[in-house]
Amino acid sequence: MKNAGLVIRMPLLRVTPHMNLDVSIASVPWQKGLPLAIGPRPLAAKKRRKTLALMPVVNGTAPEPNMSALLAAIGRSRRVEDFEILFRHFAPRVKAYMARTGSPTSAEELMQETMVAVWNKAALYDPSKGAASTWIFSIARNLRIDAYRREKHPEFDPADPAFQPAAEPAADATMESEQSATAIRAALTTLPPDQAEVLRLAFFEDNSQSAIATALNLPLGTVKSRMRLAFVKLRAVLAQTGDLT
Amino acid sequence: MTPRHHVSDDLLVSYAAGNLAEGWSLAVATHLSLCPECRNSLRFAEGAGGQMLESLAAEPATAASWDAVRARLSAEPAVAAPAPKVASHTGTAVLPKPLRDYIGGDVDAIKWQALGTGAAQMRLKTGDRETQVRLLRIPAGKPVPEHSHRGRELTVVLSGAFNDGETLFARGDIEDADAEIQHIPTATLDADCICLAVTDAPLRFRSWIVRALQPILGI
Repeated sequence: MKNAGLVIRMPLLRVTPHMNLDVSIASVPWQKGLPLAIGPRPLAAKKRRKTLALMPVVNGTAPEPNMSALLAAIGRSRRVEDFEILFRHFAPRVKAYMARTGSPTSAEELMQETMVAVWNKAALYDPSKGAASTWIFSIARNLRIDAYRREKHPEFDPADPAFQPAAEPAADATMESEQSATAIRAALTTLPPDQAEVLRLAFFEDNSQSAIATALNLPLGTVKSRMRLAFVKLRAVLAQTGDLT
Repeated sequence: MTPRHHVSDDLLVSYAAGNLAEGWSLAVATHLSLCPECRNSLRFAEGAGGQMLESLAAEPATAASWDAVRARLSAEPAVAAPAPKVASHTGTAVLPKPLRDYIGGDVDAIKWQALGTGAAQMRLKTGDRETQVRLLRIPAGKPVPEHSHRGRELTVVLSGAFNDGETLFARGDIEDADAEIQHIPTATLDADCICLAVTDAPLRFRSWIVRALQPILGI
């Protein structure tokens, strides 16, 4: 087997539509009332040698692949081995994301759709525009909207002749996506629980603002203001780090 | 010139999270096309989504999942890297692309339907049942025709401008109005004003037959 080091950690089973292989959902920290805790990030083991240059070693802790650099490299080289590392990292998370609103079977299908789209579109990924997690999140999100609501997610197109470009494009390009991702992650942990809860319901449960209001038994205006407060707070933390001007 | 009236943070967060109904999302995407500042904020909101995705700690993917995806990798063609941005911004368009996609063209493709007061509208169809989406053309110097909305109303200016009280809304600006706000937006004197208006869907019929026919009838 090519990747024996990984296989030993998994059941040697074929997927059938009735099997819920996503045992991970129960262990998501948020469901235990710990809003916005950042869970452990299991490493894609054994494959690291080949992409050593992409992995910063941080203070003696186990090196972790820089997923943004890895995804950008996949866009250029289209190496399946690199993509497997990315897959091992993101596929379980994307599946957990999909499972929040649908059945385990459709979550597995949508995860696979997402990861195949990531592979196919990898050349379009621009690390200066955001972290790999951000890019993959937006692909997963759009597939989820299409699958569960049959709606579109209209989006701007930078090649649009009506598009209004930024006056100072240089300011955008200097942002380090991984650095900014780290700052965002840190900022999320500082949110008060009520604001974190509203964000969690919005991002994971596919709840509209009014559905969140109903679920939490709050006025709609309170939900909106918590979203705004959360966002203002995140922005403030990020502004301190100099990532967002 | 870039817009001065922006998408509110709660809308931007909902748009980034992907749970904003299609009609509202169209207004947000139209504004985003014209507003570098809000695009920067959006990147940040989507960054929060990415980090929350990371926080969904999970077991390793199964061997079967990887095998299934692996088998599809070489079969499907890759999307090529985008060409260097030389050819872009050479053409001209009044309506941003998200909107053109719904109309099938630019302003000259809009099928105006007279509203009697000199104003005109074109309704746009979306996949959601929550909003009503229309383009409005207001003659220079005239007020927006009377319209009622129970909840939120988003208006994005596409050409011309309108005043709402003391406040001027020009191309790209978005006005976010509650039902409580009594407002009479009036087009400025120099030109007709074309804008995108999205409201909560106004009609809830009790009969399920009529409800079922609503999308077909366009009401």
